[in-house]
Amino acid sequence: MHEVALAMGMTILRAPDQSTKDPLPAIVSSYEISPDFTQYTLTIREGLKWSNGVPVTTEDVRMTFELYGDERIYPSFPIKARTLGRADGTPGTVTIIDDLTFTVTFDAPYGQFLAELSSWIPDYTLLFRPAHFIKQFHADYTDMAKIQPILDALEIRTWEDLVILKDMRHWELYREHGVGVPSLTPWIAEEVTSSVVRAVRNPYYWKVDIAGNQLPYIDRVEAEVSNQLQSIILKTAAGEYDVVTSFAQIREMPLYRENAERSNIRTVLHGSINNPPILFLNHDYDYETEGSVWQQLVSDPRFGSAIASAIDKEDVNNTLYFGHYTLDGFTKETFDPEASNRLLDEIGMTKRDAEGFRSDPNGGRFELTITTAEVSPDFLGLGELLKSYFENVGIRTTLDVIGNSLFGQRMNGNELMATIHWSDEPIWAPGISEDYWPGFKGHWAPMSEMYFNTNGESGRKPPPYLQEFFDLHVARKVVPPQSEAGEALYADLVDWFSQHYVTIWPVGRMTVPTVYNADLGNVIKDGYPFDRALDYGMEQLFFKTPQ
Amino acid sequence: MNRKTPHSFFSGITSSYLRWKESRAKKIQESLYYASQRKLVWHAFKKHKLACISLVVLAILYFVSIFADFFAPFGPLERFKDFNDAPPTGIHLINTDGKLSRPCIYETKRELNTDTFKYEYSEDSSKSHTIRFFVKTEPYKLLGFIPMRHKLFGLENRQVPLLLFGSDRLGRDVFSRILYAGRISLFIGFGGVTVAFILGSILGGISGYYGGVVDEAIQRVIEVLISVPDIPIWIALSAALPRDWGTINIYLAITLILSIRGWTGLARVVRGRIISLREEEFALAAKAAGASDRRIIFKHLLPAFSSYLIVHITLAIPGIILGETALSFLGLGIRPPAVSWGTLLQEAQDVNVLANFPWMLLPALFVVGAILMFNFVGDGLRDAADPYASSR
Repeated sequence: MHEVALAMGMTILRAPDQSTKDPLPAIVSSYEISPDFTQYTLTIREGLKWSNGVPVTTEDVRMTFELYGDERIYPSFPIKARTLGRADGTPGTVTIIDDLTFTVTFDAPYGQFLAELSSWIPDYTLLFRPAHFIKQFHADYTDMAKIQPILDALEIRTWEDLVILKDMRHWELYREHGVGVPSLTPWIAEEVTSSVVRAVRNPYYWKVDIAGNQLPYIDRVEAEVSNQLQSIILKTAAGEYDVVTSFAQIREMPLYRENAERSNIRTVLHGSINNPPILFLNHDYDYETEGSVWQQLVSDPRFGSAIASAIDKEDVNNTLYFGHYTLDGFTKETFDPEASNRLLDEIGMTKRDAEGFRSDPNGGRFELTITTAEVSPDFLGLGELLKSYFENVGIRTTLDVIGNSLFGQRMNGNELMATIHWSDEPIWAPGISEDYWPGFKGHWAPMSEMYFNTNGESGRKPPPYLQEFFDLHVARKVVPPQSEAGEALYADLVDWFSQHYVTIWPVGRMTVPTVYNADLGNVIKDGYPFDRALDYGMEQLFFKTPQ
Repeated sequence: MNRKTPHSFFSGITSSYLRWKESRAKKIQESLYYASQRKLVWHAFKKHKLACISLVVLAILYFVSIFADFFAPFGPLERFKDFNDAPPTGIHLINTDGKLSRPCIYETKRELNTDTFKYEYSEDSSKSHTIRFFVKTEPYKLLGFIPMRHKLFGLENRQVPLLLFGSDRLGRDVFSRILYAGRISLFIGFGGVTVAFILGSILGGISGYYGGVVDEAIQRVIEVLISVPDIPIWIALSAALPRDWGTINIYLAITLILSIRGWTGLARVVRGRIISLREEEFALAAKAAGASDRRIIFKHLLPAFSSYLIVHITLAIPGIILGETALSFLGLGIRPPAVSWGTLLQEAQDVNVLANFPWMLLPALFVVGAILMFNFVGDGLRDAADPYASSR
C-alpha cells in the first residue's frame, strides 16, 4: 500500500524541486539564520490561515514545542528538532518575538535544520500544529467536563490519548481520523474509508497563480487506496485515474503507450527520488564470531571491488529497464570478470570445489546469501541476475526471497549477509533523505548504527573504517547540506561509499513514467529530474476542458 | 458375374477375418477364466482408449522431464542476453526459393521502439540456421552421471536463440524451463502420494483392524486434519519452513506438507474396508491358522482391495501437483531460481505478461494437461478395477 500523498510538500521554506540550496521563504515571509547555524528566526506569512479560516500565529509554534516537550503526550522530543538531529541532542527551544515572528535556538551549530525546513519529509508540521484545534482536547486548556463527552464518543480512555489522536503529522491528514483537522494543504480530507480518500479544496489556501487566481485549480480529489498492484496497473492503462505518479514503472510502458489513444492517457518519462535496487553488504554480519570469514572478506575493499566488477551493468539495464537507467552509482567498477577473478584470487579465494565454486580464504565452503523481500517486481529479476554474475566468477550464491515482515525481523536481528533494496540516493545530497544510514531499507552495519544511536551502550563498536562514516555523517549535520562546506562533506561521504563497498550499484539512477489524463495541464515534462514535483505539488494541475 | 467375383473374394476375406477375430476373442475370453486380477484389470483398462492415450502421454511427459538435459535445447538458467521477453522463434519449412526444406530459423535482430516501448523483430533470411537432431553441444552429464555430448535437437551455433516457446524476462528459453520444471512438478506428485499411501494404509489398517481406543484416536486426528481447508494449512506450514534450506530440502518438505492431509482420505477407506473384511472367512481362517496381525493386514486384507488403492493413488497425484503449483504460485513453495511449473507461473503473474508476453503462460497448459491425463488414467483404472462394471 502506498501513502496517499496528494498534498505533501507544504514546506516551511522552499528551494526549487528536490534541492535545499538557498531556499526561499514559503509559508513564512522571511527567515534569517545566525552565521553559526544555531538560531533560525522566521516570520509567518501575513494573513496565512488554517483550512478552517483561523489565522496561523506564533501560538501554533509555541504549542507545537510545548507538545514536543510534554512527556504525557510524546515520550521523547522529535529527533529533527534536536541539535544535530540526534537522539541525544539537546531539544531546540522556541522564543516568541511577536504574533508572527519566532526564533528556534539550538545549543550547537545545526545547519541540517535548514534542510529540514525545506524538506517535504518533516514538512510544515515540524513547527506548525493548529493550537486552537488541539487545545479543545487538552486538559490544561479545556475543562475536562467538555472533553469527557468526546472521549466517551470516541471510546478513548484519557485526554492525552485524544491529543495524540488529533495532533498529527502531515502524512496522517488523509487517514480516517484526519477528517476535520485544520491543515495548510491545498485539499482537505472530507471522507476517508479503507479504499478511498475524498478531499475538497482548502478555501483558505494561500497560493495564487501569476494572474492572482487562488490555487488549487481542481476542486475535488479522490485517491484510491489499494494494495493490488496488478489491478492498479490495469486501471491505469484503462485510463481510470487522472494521475499515476511515483508508482508506475518503466516495465509497464508498452501497456500505457499501447492504450494511450483508447484510454486518453499520456505518459512522460522522468527521473525519480528513488533509486533502482542496490545490493547492500552487511559489514556487521557475523561480527561476534571469532575469526569470522565474512568479516575478513567484507572489510577488505578488494572483495567489494570484485563483487562490483562481476556485475554486467549494461545487461541489468537492458534486461530489466529497457536500457533507460543510468550506469553510474557509488561503485565505479565496470563489468570486468577478469579483474573480479584476479581480485578474488588475490584475497586467497583460490581453491575451487567440484562444482567450480571458490572456497573462502581459509579453504572452507563459501556461500554468499542475498536476501530480498519482493517489494517491487524487479527485485527478484535483479537477484537472479546477480546470482548468475557472482557464480560466473566462482562465488557460490543463494538468493532468498522472503516476506516483507520477516525481512524486517531478520534485518533487525542482524541475520542477513547481503540484501537488495531501494534507496533515495537522488535526495541524499540535499539532506532530504538519509536512507544511506546503516540500518535503513537494506542494511549494511545495523549493529554499528545501534552503537552510535545508544552512545555505545549496545551494538558493535564500529571498526575504524566504519567509524569514519559516522564521523562524516555527524560533520554533515553541522552545516546546511548544500552549502559549500556541506557539498564538500557529501563528496567525502560518496568517496567513502565507493571505497568501502557497503553498497554495490548494479545500475545508477532510474527513469519512471507518470501516467496522466491527456486533458490535464501543467504536468511535468519528459526528462524532468524528479517525480515528486507532481504528486507533492498537484495544486498546479488543471483540466483543459471543464469537467 | 465378373462383377461378383471380387465381391465374393472380399466377402471371403471378411468372413475369415471375422472368424479369426471371434476365435481370438474366445481365446482371450478363455484365458481370462484363469487370469490373475492384474491381468483382468489390464485387459479392461486397454479398452479405455482415452485412458490408454493419457497413460502414453504421461509416460512421455515423465520420460522427457527425467531426461530434460537431453530433450531441452538449453539449460533452465541459460540466458540469451539480448532476447529477454522474446516471442517464440519462427520455424520455417519453406526456404526463400519457395521450396520445402529442412526446418530452419532465420537470424533475428531486434530493436527497441522508443515510442511504443516494444521490441521490433526483423528476420534476416540470408542467415538461416537449420534445426538439427542430435546436435553436438558442450559436454554435460545426463542425470548427473552419464557423460553426453549431444542434445535431441538444436542449432549448431548455440549462440543463436532457438526459442520454441519464447523467452522469459531474463531471456531464458521457456520451453527448456518447462521441461526442467516438470522434474519437480511431476515427481512431487509421486513423492507426496507415496508418503500418503504409506501413512494411509498403515494408520487406516491399524485403525480398522484393532478398533477401540486406537481407532478412536486415529479417527479424531483425521477429523482435525480434514477440518482445516487445504490451502491455508499448506500456506501456514510452508511459511514456517526455514528460509536457509536448500532447494532439495524445501522440495522434500513441501512434499511432506502436501501429503499431510493426503493420507487421511485413504486411511478412512482402508479402515472401512478392513472392518468389513476382517470378519470374512479367509481372514478368520488366517487368524485361526495363527498368522500374526501384521501378516493378516498386509498379506490378506490389503491385497483384497489393492485395485481400489491404485485408483485412489492415481487420482490423488493431480491434487498434489496442483498443490505444489498453487504454493509456488503464491511464492511459498519451490523458490526461484529452482524451477517448477508453479514458479514459472508465478513469474507470469503480471499484467504485462498477459498483454505483451502471453507465451510465458504456456506452463499452465502443461499443468492442465498433466492433471487431465492423470484423471483420465484414474478413470480408466477405476472402471477397469471395478468387478461389477458392465463394460467388461
